[in-house]
Amino acid sequence: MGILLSLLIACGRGEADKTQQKQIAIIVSTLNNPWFVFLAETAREEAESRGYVARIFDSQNNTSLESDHFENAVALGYDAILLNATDSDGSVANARKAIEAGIPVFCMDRELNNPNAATSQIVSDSYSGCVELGGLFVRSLGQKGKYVELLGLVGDNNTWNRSKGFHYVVDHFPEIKMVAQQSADFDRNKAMEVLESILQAHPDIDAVFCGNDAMAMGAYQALVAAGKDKKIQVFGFDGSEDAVSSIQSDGLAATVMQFPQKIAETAVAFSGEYFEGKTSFPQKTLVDVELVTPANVSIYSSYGKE
Amino acid sequence: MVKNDKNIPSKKRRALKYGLIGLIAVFLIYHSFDVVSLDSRKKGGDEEDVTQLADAYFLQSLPKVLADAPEPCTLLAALSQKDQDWASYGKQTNIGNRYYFLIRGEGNIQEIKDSYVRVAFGEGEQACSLRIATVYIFGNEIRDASGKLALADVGELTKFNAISEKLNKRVREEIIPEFLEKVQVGQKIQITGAFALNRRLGVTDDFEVMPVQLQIVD
Repeated sequence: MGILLSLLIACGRGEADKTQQKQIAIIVSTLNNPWFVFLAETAREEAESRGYVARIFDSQNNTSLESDHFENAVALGYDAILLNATDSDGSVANARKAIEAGIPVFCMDRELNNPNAATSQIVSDSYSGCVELGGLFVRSLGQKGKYVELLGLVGDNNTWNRSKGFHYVVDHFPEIKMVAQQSADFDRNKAMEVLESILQAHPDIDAVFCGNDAMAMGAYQALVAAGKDKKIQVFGFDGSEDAVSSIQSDGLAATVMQFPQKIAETAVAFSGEYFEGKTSFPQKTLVDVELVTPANVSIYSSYGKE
Repeated sequence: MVKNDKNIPSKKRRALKYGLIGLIAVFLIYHSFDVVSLDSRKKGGDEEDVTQLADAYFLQSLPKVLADAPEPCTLLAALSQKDQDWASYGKQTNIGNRYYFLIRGEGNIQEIKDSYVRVAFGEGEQACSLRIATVYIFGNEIRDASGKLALADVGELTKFNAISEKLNKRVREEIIPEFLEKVQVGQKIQITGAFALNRRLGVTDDFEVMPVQLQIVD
């Protein structure tokens, strides 16, 4: 009888501990891109290792679906939301719902255009990364040549931060000409189709700059199919697994490594500080990115895993 | 019908009078206002703000920190030591491996290349040489190496990046051309500058120092 009573008490305590466990909702733009899968999974693992309950919600690049996730997270009483936004402007209203309900929102990687819509934003320093990549690009071309730029999603700040950083450097060199600039939505297949079409009009380009590695791989595939992969250099951004492998085997010319692990860990750490009573956070925390080239690729793992 | 002395009907005369007054009023009102879009207004304000912040930093804050910057060879020797704490010598802006450093020294021009000049510092075992950038001056080295200007002080990231652009432009356009016009191999120069290193890669051979001041001594 005594043993049974002890067991019942122990079970009851366990249940009580569980109800006190903080819950974190991880709302991610899409799980179709392995980079975001890694970001979300790392955040969940980090949250669970700190004793929190964490659940991933896939917005499928749809702001309405993201809105539903926010409503559910608020209704279900989540204690914090880690957001990888679908749209820098379109996601502001969604994040505000949570903030107004007293739930902190920590943005991961994709920033919101309204600083008051999030408790804090932890993002890669994409602009500076592309300034560095721009320097390498100019040197690789010998300050002379024609190129194509493939942009990411036009509603995402990362698209423009990367493009602006790159152009800040490259546009200083008048003998380097951009012959086409087109969006391929960060998508590999679309990038392949877009570049195939551009190559019809501009077969004599020297390089392609892509706003992410998925597009860089798509562009490279188009160049292989056209037999131009040895002549035209392709530059990406992210540090994805296939991009790192491609640099190792003389495919892509370079990429910029992001560190989703650091972004996710910082977002979870901020949530923990919030749970402990901290209310003031830096509006924006930047995470370094690093240039990966054939010369240093051997020391990097995909997604900057450490 | 009542007519005035010029045979113009009074109604027409009144209409003409009010019409003229109206035209003058429209003319005066139009030239009293300057209609600009909110976006351009904000851009103009930000531009002024960025210029002021960059000037204050370059002319006041940065020189004070540069006055105490280390001699290049001593700094490189310290950074090359295994397990050395780079935070004691440099600054970090972001979470990550990038550190920014300042230097101040006197050296001799060893070679002049298309995008840099190589300068030899020190003597004997303490000797070292560095590449001083003359073309690729675009990064955050000058802005971040002093630790006196932070994103939190500036507010917006676009403004923070624009400050770097202003500082770099100033060096590219005001310091480099004059220096390149006179520089020759063998000359002695005084230099202050900033550079960045990645902790993961350590002290590499090919990094370039972004100059802040370049003075040919002889």
